[in-house]
Amino acid sequence: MLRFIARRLLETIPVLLIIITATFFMVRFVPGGPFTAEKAVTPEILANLNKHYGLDKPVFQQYLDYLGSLLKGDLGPSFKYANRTVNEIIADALPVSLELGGTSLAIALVLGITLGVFAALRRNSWVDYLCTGVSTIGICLPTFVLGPLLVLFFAIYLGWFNASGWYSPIDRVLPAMTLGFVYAAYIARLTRGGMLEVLSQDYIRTARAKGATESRVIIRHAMRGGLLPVVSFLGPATAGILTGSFVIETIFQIPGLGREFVKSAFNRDYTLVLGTVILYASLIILLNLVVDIVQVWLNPKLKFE
Amino acid sequence: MVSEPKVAQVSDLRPRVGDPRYGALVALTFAALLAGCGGNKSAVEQGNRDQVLHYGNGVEPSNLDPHTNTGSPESVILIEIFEGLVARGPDLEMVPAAAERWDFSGEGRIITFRLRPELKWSNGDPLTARDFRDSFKRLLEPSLAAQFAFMAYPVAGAEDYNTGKTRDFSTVGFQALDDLTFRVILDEPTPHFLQLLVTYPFLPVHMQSVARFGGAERPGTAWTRAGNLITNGPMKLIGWEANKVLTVARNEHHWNSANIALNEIRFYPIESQDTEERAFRTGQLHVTTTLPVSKIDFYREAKSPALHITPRLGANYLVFNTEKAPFDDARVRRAFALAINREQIATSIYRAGQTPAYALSQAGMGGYQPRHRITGGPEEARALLAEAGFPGGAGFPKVEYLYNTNELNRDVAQALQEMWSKELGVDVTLVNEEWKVFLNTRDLGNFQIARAGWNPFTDAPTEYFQQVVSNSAFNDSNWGDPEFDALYEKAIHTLDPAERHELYHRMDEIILRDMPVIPLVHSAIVRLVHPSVRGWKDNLLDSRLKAALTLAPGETP
Repeated sequence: MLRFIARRLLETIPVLLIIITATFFMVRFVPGGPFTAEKAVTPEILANLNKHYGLDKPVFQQYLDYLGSLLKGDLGPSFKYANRTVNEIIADALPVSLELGGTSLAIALVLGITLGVFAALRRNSWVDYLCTGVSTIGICLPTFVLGPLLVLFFAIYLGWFNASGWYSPIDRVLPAMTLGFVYAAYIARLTRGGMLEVLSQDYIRTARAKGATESRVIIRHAMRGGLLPVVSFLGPATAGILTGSFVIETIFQIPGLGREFVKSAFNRDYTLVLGTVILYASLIILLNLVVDIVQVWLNPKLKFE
Repeated sequence: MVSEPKVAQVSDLRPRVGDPRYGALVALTFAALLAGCGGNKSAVEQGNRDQVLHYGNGVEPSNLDPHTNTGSPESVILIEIFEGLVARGPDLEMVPAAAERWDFSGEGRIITFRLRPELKWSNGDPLTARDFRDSFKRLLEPSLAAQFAFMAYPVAGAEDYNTGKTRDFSTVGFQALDDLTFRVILDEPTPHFLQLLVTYPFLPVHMQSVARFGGAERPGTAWTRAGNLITNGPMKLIGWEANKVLTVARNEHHWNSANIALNEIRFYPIESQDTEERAFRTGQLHVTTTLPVSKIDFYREAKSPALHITPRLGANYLVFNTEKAPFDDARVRRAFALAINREQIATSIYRAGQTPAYALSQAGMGGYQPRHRITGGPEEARALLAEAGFPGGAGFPKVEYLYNTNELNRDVAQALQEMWSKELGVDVTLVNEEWKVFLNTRDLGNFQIARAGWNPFTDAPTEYFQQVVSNSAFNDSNWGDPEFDALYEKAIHTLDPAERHELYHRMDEIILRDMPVIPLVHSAIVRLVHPSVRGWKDNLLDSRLKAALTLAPGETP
C-alpha cells in the first residue's frame, strides 16, 4: 500500500506541472491585463507598473521565475490586493472554506446517507417516495434559490440569524445548511441506488440465512458495498466543497476561497489565479488518492495495483 | 490530511443511523444554538447606542494607498482616515481641512496654504508642510507608477518629474516655505486645480512609516496594513479583515476630534446587491452602497424614509470609432444619435433614477447649465442618413455594437438595436465581451460603436470634454477637432466662470454637431440610509465625510 501511495504521489508531479504551465500561459494570453481599467493608464505609467511586477520580461522568463519561487513555496504578490501576498490570501480564505465545507459535508453525509438508506430499505413505500422526493428537490433547487429562501425565512421573518456575514459561530448555520442540503441530495440518491443493488445480492441473502440480525446485515454487510458509489462521488465533491463555493460565499458574504478563485480571473490577478488553481488541483489529486484507498478497503474485489 | 475525518465520519455513522434518539439530538443542538441569538440587538441598534456606523461599501478595498489607488470604494474609506489640505463640505463646497486658509496670487498661478498649527499624525508625530511636499514627491515618483499622478500635471514641473525628465524635485512647484506654509505653483492659472486637490491622490502620507516598509518609491508594500498604517484623518484604521470588515475608529490626535461623535465606522465589502439589501433589512447595516432595481418599487411603495434616490455626476454614452466607415461620416453618427429614445431607455431600462442625457456635460457641474442639447427625432435622423447615401437604411453595411457583458448593458443594447432598426432601417449586430477583454478591444480601436461610461472625479465639466480631446488617453473615438482642442485648452485656464461657461457651451455645440460620442443617460445613486443616521446629505459626487455623521438611538427602520 505504501508503494502504491508513493507511486501515485510521484505521478502527481508531472500532472501538476502541466496544470501550472497551461494555466500560466492561458491567463497571460487572455486579452486585458491586471492594470486594464476604464480610466486609461498612460504608457509611461504602465511601463513602470509592468517593470515593478516583472511583467516587462519575456513571458517564458516570467514562467521560469514563477516556477523558481514556487519551489520555495512563494506564490508571489497579488496584483489586485497590492499589500498582500497570494500565500496570505490563501491562508486567510482557505480555513474559512474548510470550516464551511467541513460542516456542510458533515450535514450532507448524515442527511444524505440516512435518507438514502431508509429509502432503499422501504423501497416503493411512502418513506421511499418522501426521501426520493426530498432529494430530487435538493438536486433541482439551486443554491442561489435555496440560500435566499432560508435567509428570508430564518433571518428576515424569524430573526434567528444574521442575513449574511461570517462573524460569530451562529453565522455558519445557514450557509452550511444550504451547501450541505444540495450535496445531501446527491448522496441520498447514490446511497439509495447503491444499497438497492447490494441488498439484492446473494451474500446478503446468505447473511440473513445464517441468522444475522437485520441491523447487522444492513450496517456490516450492505452498507459496506452500498456506499461505494458515494465514496467515488466524495473525492471530487470534497475537493469542491472544501475549496469554497462562489455562489454560497456571495449570497452569505463569506470570506472564503471560492470567491477569490472566480474574481481573480476577472481581475487578471495572474498570481492569485495560479495559486488557487494549484491548490485546487492538488486537493483533487490528493482526495482522489484517498478515495482509491478507501475503495480498496471497502471493496474486497479491489487490490492496490 | 482532510480525508481522514471523512472516513471516520462514515464509520461513526454506522451505529447511529436509524436510532430515533439521533434526530432528537440534532433538534436539540439546533434549539440550543438558536436560543442563544433570540434576544440579541441588531448591529444597527447596538451601533446607534455606541455610535458605531455600519456601512456597506460594495467591494473589498484593493489597497489603502491614496497615491496608487484607482478605485472609488477605496476612496470612500481613504477620505475618512486621511485628510488633505482642503476638503469638500456637505454641499461640495471647498472647506478648510489640514489647511485653515489659502489664498491665490500671481493671477491664480500661486496658491499659498496656511496649515493648522495643531496638526498631528495618528501616532502623535507632528505634521508639517514638509509632509505634504514629501507626499506629493512620492506621488510623482516615476517608480511608484501612480496611475493618477497626471492629476498633478497643472503644477509647474510635475509632468517632467513624473515622466523622468528631471530628478530634481526643487524644479517642481510644490514648496514647503516653513512648517505651516505650503505653496503650489501652477504652470498656468487652472481654476479647477483646487477641485483636483481635494481628490485622494493629494492626500498626505506618513513618509517615515511608508519608507520603513519599503513603500517610499514602490507600490504595494505592507505600510497600509492595519497596525502599520499611520494617517492624519478624523478616523484611523484599527482593523482590516479581508472580505469581512474594515474598521476605522476616531483618531484622538485629529484637530477636530472633540467634534466627532462617531466612535467607529465599519465598512463591509458586500458585493452582491441582494445580500446587501438583506443585511440592511435584518439590521446589519446603516447604509448600503446601492439597491437592486427590483427592490426600488418595494421601498417606494412603502414610503420608506431609508430610500435615497439622487442624481450623481456620471454619464453613460456610446462612442464611435470615427476612423472607420460608415461612422467616419458625422451625418451617420448624428442619425444614430437622433434615432434613440433616451426617455424610454432611462425610465424603462435603467429605472433607477437615471436621467436622459441630451448633452455629454451635465447640469449642476460647478454651476454650469448646458444650453445645447440633442434636438430633433427619428424624422431628422432618417433625413441625415439619406443625405449620407443610405435612404431608408438601403445599402447600409452591417455594423456592430460592442458592450461589456452585463444584464443591464444587454437590455440597453437590445433597445438600441431595436430603435436603430425601426427608425433607420439599419441592422446592428450586438457583440458582448468580458469587462477587461472589452476594455482592451475598445482601447485598440477594434470596434464600430461601443458602450462607454465616466464617473467624474470633480464637478468640472472639462472632465467630460477630456473624453474627446484629440490627444487625450481617454479618447477612444479617434475624433479630433482643432477648434475643440483649442477651446478645451483655453477653458481649463480661464478664471472667470461666465467666460469659461461660454467656452463650455461652444464645446457642447461642437460635440453635438460632430457627435463622436452619443450621450445616453446621466447617472443616479440609489441606496438605503437608516433613519437613525443624522447629517446625511446627498450630493452630485456622492461624497461626504462619514466621520461627521451622528447616530440617533431609538430609531426603528
